[in-house]
Amino acid sequence: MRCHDAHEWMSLKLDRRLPADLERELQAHLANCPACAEEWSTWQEIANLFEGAPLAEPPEDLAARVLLRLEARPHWSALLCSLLALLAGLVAISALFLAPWAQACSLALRVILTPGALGAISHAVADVVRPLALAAEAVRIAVRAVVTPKSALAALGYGAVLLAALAGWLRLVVLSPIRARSSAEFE
Amino acid sequence: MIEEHVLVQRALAGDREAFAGLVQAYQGPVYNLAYRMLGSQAEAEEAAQETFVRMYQRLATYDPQQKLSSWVLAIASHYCVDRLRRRRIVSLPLDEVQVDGLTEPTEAPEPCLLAQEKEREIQSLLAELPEAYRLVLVLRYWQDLSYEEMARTLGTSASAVKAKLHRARELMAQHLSRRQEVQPVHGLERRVTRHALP
Repeated sequence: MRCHDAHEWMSLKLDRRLPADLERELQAHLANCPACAEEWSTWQEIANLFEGAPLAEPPEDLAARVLLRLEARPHWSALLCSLLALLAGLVAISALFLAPWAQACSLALRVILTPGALGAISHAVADVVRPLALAAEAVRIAVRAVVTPKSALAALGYGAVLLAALAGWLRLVVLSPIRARSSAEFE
Repeated sequence: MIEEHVLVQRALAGDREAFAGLVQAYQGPVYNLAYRMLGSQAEAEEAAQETFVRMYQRLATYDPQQKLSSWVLAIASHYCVDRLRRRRIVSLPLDEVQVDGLTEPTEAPEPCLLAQEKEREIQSLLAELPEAYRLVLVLRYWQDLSYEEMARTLGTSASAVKAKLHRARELMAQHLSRRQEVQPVHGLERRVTRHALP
């Protein structure tokens, strides 16, 4: 038997995995090989040291601390909801910005085509400024909602953005034609 | 006692108390693995906490066919090995690695000192081994796992585990012999006369 094989069998012996016939062979080798016998003695000492070592006691409040860490983690579903709300807010803001520009373009065209329409110009300016102010307010609410760590407050902010967007949209799409119609009737 | 798979199902449904039950069931093995791998109680506690947080995050991917203990110990093993590698990157000298004793100071002074000496000896023998060898020894002696269980935990074969244990023992014997040449190690008197198998 080679010493390398003996070492392998010694390891198996310490793990109680060495068959009885190989154990006899190993014993015969150790009786005739002082180097391996010395090695075996050291291995046994280390094994005894490890097997006699006490188990460490975990802190009593480990489970409570783990639960505290879990509570402090941001929840993925809440984060996803926040992102979706942010996306909806951005879409609404974009709509707000695009709508007044389209309105302004059509009004500018009317001004060009209608001679002496100072009233129409003032209407157009007012129509552009009001939604822009609304949009700025919506952006302010959205930014505040995003930088606030509590997802509930963020959701509230996004709700406000959506409401502002809806109000702006209603003002532009529904109220403006009514006003235009009533001024036409008045004239 | 509520069965383990019931606790897993309840924890998956968001029941934090059920998850706390799982933590209590495995805190001993996880903490001991971390302590023997990292060598300090403070680091072991941090590692145990991180292991259970990762367990909670990955609970949906747990395969019930697998033993939960193997799965949890695998998470703990990977975390400890990663942490040791990071520690090596910042080049913390071995002498500066803190080795805590487990013996309470309330015990009688002499046995307490002897136990502390043995504890220091164990941790310093482990600390001199590369992470992979240290891990198989910890799983063998402090988790009492078979070759097959170790293989499942480490995602390797039983023959690879056997080879690593063999190599780890050779390395430890070399370290010990080298150290005993410099100074005799207290509590580890060499028994050169005992050659026969027990």
